[in-house]
Amino acid sequence: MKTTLQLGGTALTVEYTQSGDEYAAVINGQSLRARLLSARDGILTLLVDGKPLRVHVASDGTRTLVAIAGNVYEFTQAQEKKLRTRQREAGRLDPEVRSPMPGKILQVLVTEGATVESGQALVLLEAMKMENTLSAEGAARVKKVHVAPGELVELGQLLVELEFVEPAVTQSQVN
Amino acid sequence: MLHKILIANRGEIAIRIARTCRELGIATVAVYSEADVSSPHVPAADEAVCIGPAQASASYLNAEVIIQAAHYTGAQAIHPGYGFLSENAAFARLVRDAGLTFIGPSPESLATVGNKIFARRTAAKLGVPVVPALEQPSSDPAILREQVRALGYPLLIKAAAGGGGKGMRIVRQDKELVEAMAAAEREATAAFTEGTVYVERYLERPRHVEVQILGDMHGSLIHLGERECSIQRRYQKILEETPSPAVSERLREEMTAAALKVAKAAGYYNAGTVEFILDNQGRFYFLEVNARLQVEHPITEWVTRLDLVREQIHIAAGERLGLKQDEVRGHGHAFECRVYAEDPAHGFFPSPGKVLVWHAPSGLGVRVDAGVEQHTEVSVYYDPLIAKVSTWGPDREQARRRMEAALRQCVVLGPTTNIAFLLDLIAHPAFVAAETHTGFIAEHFPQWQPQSAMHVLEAALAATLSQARRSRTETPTVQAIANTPWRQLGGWRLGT
Repeated sequence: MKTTLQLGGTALTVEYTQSGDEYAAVINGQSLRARLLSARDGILTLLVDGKPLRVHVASDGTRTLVAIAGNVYEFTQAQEKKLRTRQREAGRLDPEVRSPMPGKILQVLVTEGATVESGQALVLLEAMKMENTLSAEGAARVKKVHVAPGELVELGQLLVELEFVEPAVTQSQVN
Repeated sequence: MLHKILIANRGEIAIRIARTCRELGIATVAVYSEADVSSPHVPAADEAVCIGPAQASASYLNAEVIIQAAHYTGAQAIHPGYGFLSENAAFARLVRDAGLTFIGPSPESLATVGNKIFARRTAAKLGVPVVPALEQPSSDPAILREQVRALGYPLLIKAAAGGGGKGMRIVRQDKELVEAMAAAEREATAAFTEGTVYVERYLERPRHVEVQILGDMHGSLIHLGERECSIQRRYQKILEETPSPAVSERLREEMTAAALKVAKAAGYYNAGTVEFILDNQGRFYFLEVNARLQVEHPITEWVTRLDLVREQIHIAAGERLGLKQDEVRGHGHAFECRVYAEDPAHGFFPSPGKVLVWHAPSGLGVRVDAGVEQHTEVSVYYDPLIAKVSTWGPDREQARRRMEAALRQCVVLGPTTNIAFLLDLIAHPAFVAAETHTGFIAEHFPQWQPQSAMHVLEAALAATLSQARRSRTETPTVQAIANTPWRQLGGWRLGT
């Protein structure tokens, strides 16, 4: 049994064999032996090196979420994130600024044709009772503004289109 | 005594108030918006009334419909909780004029302490120290620059009608001033329909310390000690404790005396909080009065062994305070952590969505005030608070360790939450050493990322096994369960 999972920017290849309730897994070259003591209602109890671990698991279709001891791990199937990840790895920024949550546009701080610096505020969005600033990821020219102040926007709605002026470099490449 | 109370709120605080009412044998009425039909605060009450659409301005802030709902259901009193209409003097007056009891201070006191500028002046007149401020900033940028010169940077802009950090801005340089004023006014107008702002000197590395007060309508006024709420993000508290490690017995006497002086001058009764900031020299300054039950009241309940909602109800019913100042004793130490649907790795951005899994911690000295359950949608319309986890211990370190254990047990799957961040926060050496101040998060966690390497292999295996099991046995999806009509049958709606 072999699957590839995506955790943030990292691909994890999980290969395992099962014998009874014993699992021997190799994950990106690291081996892990575990006993599955119980699995029901989204709660798994694993025994790893004699240590019991209570693991909560839930899935909402695109994501599989796993909670262990206060940490949450968000896995996606490898194929879905491939395109975006490849873009990011190549250092390309997304020219489409989309709403990260439903809310109301308070202010549009740029006009079409204007040039903006990296980090410059583009749109003020009120969501969940807070004012949130959406900024340019890199130096760019504003190609098109799709929203106006007072407008209600949905999650993922296109707000502003940018044209990056120079080969932009993502944050992750700088670090 | 009151026999039926309408709770004009939602989420954890509505559930918490309903709980005490049940203990007292008082019937409760929940109100809910159309977005809250399946929220757990609805079945927490004995009756439920739909008061309008999702937008708070049309439902939880709709004073007339709420009062109408009280009349329809025969409720005699309204408990406003915190936020929404809780500190609205006009609402309190409407409630009184409707022949109902407002569980809180009088409309007159609310008006007095509700205007921060007026409250500041009142405090200053009483000899209570206040932070140097500019009360009437000019709308002319040139004059404004001149005016603030006397205060000196950094400055803090605040909404006169404000609370909860809305309309607040720190300004470090002259060139940021005008834009920050405009943003603060906008936020204040959106949040309080009243855009007046003022400017005060911003103190570096101060602590936020507040005094809980309780007064009856017969002139008795006592304090229940202090809470320290220095750990904040976006100017909002996420972690509180009592007693404050920075407050000595002598300082406590001074601060509580100042708090009572302000409350007395405002003719204050019912529960309230007088907020101070404490600088790194041990000097305190009056900030404002929060004329309501505070979010963080559970930690005071832990150490005083009182039920503040019960006290509020008795006071509103006209009864005398059941205890005297010298009968109030603080026992041990308590912490509260606010579990929010937000992403601490991305500027604490709200992370709404459906709660797929909710598992509350429990055990000796652990209390959970939750506003969600499995399948609850954390809505974009309201505050993204999921739950308050509070712990008690005989001393600070034991209470802190209990919090660590509790948070490790706490599971929220669905929205991104701040649980892992809270765990890192309370384990930080500076926090363990009680070296807290309002800039603590900015100083110690400027670029926080979850330490997901910890159990990553186990998590990957669990995800794989779970996916393999799911593909073998298809279970009903979460949506199918949440949308059953049974949850929607209880309430009925008014008007429209």
